Amino acid sequence: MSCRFLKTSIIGATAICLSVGFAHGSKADAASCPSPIPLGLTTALTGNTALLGTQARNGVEFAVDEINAAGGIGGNKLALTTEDTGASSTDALNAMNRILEGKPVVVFGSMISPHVFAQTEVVTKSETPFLVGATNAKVTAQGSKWLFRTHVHDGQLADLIPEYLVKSLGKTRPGIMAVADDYGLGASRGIQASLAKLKAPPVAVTSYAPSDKDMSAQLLEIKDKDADSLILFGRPADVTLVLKQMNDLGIKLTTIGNASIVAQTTLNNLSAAEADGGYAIGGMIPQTLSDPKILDWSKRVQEKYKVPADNFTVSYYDTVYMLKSIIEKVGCDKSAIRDALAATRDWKGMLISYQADAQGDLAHTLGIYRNKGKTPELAGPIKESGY
Amino acid sequence: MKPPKMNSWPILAANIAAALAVPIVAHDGYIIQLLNIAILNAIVVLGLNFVTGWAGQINFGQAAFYGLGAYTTAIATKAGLPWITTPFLSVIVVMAASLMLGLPTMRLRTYYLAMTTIGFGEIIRLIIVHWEPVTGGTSGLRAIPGISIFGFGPQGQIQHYYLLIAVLLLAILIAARVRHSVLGRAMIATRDSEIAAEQSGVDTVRTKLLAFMIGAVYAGLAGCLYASSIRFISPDSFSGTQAILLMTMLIVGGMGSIAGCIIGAVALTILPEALRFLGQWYLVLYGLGVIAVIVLAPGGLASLASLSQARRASVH
Amino acid sequence: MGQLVVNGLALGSIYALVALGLLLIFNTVQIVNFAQGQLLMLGAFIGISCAVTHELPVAAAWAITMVAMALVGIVFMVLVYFPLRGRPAFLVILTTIAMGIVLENLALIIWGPLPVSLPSPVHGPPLRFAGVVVSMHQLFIFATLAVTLLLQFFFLTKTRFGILMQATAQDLHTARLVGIPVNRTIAVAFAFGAVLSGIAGLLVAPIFLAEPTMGGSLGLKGFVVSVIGGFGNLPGAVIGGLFLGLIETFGARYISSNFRDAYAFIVMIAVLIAWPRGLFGEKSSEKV
Repeated sequence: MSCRFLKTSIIGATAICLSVGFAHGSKADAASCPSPIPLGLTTALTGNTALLGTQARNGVEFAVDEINAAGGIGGNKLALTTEDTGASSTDALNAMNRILEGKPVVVFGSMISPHVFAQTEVVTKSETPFLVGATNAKVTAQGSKWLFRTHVHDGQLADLIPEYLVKSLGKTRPGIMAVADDYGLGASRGIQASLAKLKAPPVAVTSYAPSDKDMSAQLLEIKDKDADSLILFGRPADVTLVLKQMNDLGIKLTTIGNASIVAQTTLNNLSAAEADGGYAIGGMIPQTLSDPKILDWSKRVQEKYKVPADNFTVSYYDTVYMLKSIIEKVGCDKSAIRDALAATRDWKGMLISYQADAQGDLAHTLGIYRNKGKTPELAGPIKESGY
Repeated sequence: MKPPKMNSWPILAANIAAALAVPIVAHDGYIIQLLNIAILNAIVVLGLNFVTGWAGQINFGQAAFYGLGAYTTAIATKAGLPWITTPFLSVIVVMAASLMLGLPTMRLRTYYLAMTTIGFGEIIRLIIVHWEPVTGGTSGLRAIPGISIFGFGPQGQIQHYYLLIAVLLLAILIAARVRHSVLGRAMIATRDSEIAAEQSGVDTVRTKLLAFMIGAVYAGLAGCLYASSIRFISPDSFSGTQAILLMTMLIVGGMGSIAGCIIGAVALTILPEALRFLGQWYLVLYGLGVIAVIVLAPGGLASLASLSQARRASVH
Repeated sequence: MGQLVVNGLALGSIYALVALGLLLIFNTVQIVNFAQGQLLMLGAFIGISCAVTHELPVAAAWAITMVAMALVGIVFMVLVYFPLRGRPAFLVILTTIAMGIVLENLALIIWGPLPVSLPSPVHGPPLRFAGVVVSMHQLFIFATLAVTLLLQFFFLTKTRFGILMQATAQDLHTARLVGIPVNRTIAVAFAFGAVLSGIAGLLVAPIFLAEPTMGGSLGLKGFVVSVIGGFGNLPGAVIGGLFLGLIETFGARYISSNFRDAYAFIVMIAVLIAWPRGLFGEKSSEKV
């Protein structure tokens, strides 16, 4: 028993020495990257957030496959390791620990904010750039200089949606319906604060559980309290039900909300009458553009993953290419990559440009959409104030 | 009937030695973190064993007590209270909650009790989700201060590991003492037949209530340690799904057996991680596996581990 | 407010149907099937496979689904009931929960997570009166519940086989001794129980869409209804279901939409504290 103990400790010690040596090696030679270049991704592939989580995997994987098919970065292929976070934040933390064991050059987190909150400390300690799409405004306020967000967030939506509703659409008595998870409730709070500043407080603030099917109570409350508009923040599955039932009840309100209102998975289950007229402000989606290259990309993504691409797919895809251009410039040293990310200026992605601010947010352009029947139309890009 | 404690000492000692040696092989990181979570789960399942394994009361509210302990600790330490107060606060909160749940429901029959405990868990979860200013809502609470007694506390995963092993041993010892005490025998009697137990002079309502409370205290303290060591909590870690998982840990490990609790908790904490590559199929196999254990090996993995124990366990 | 009543009753009817299926099985074999919600989901997806994927007429989809669900019920019985006969109740609960997990995740693998719609068997513009909108489909739901309840009542009390089923429910051992084909009655109970949930699924999908996780919440509400009504009787289940639908809808409207799911449990716990045997009592007696 003691012989084995000794052997194991020797192996353990040797492993430690080797890995320390390795780390030194890559630090000294900034321009040469390990081959293959290890990347890590954690996202929800199972569980109740999987519908959203898989879009992160789709975007990253699609880009990695494209880059590898074209020869990789400087001749080095990318090796992407994906771990499923499942539904709970504890599992997300475990998944991230697993990924970090493989010593990736960069880690991608998902758009599910509680998971990213759980993972931030351990990623920061490992001094690895952490690229996320998590939309809770406070994600970039955690004070980690390694965390960067490449998708628009609820803080921006909380400002822009009320502003557009009040100033451009001229509605001053909105009712709010938000899905009762981190995504919806966080946004709802921010929206209420912005409405207060615009002197247009909501006449009703309601929420619904993610598994709720009957939305009539909330819709009727909003109608009874004499709202002139509805701010709707949810996931495609439940937003579909709200719009459907609103139509069934004969309630006609100007509706504005997040990208779920114009998402393909929502529109697939609505009739033209039910979808028509809804506004959305959010991360830009590929389906509304006439550029044939973008539409082709969109089609190929759908063929491969059987699910339409959405704003997150685009954002994660862009992030990988952004990373590629950074690695081509500064190599695979993690600190150098981090510094380059923080210095991003006007990097042109598929639909928007990216620019890093002091907090680590890189996306500042959103799209305003309106449903014409079952087809979303881009009313125009809208930028966060100051950009 | 469990075999007399004498026979299990060498096994226990060997297990403790193996457990203590783990960090030497697998340094700081994924495995240690995972084992820490497994140990915490084991403590919660040990608590569940009092209620379900020994007193025979189905309980889907254990995850809620776990969460109450974690949230009490997080809220208290983030509000500036010294860490040493949190175990006591957690115990007070879960004891109050378990009384609130237990008093009205101790006379209920199995299916009603199951539904009530599910309902209790749901209500607690909803309160946590919607009481955002206090609990952080669905975003959870982060940057929770760690364990600190007079300025000293474990740093890093490995030190937490040793601390948790120590707490687990304490939990096992207490459980073993209770099992062989008057209360323990009353619990088993209640499980086997409430009517017969009442005839023998056992106050089954009081017994069930005590089992409930002890189980809740175990979970509450585990929650306190969870918050202080993982240092991030959110409601999805204490949901109804987790409650079901805890119950399956108990059953798969071996209901009524202390070793079974540990085996079940460790197995079902590590297995989902080890089998992540199966993707969606993991949950299908997990469900089928639970059914297989219930049908084929009702004493759980603990009974398979030792044939003589299985023979005695089946007699109950 | 009238609208809330209509919507609450429609929702409650679904809950009642789930509860009726649960009770049919419980009354016969003393098992509460915690996978009843997943059976509802299965019914919805089988219907969608027929009507949408294979573009069969909706009536054919309904017929095929009901037959398929009957078979599912029997398979369920073989997998769950026979191996666990005589085991303590909570092992059975865990087993049915595990079955539910298996069914839900198989559905996710087979049909994917995206919500899908099913056309309703009835068409036409909604009725509008006194500021209330009642859709044709909602009327269809009420009608289906009424018809199901009547058929079930008639079957159980007026037909020979139905009376045999009641005898089996009252006392399985004696029934067997007396020569009642107990296994057959049990099979029928499982089959019909599954069919009832399948019908609920076919009714839900057109208005609430179908996706693999839809069973969890609906199943849970079905159990709550069974508890409120008492695990014994059918009218209790129906009244309990409608009652719950109304409570949820009015609670969400006038108290808080945040705690909608909690109202069901709060009412259930309140009922249990006051009437430990359920509002309408249960038939089975405590075993000594």
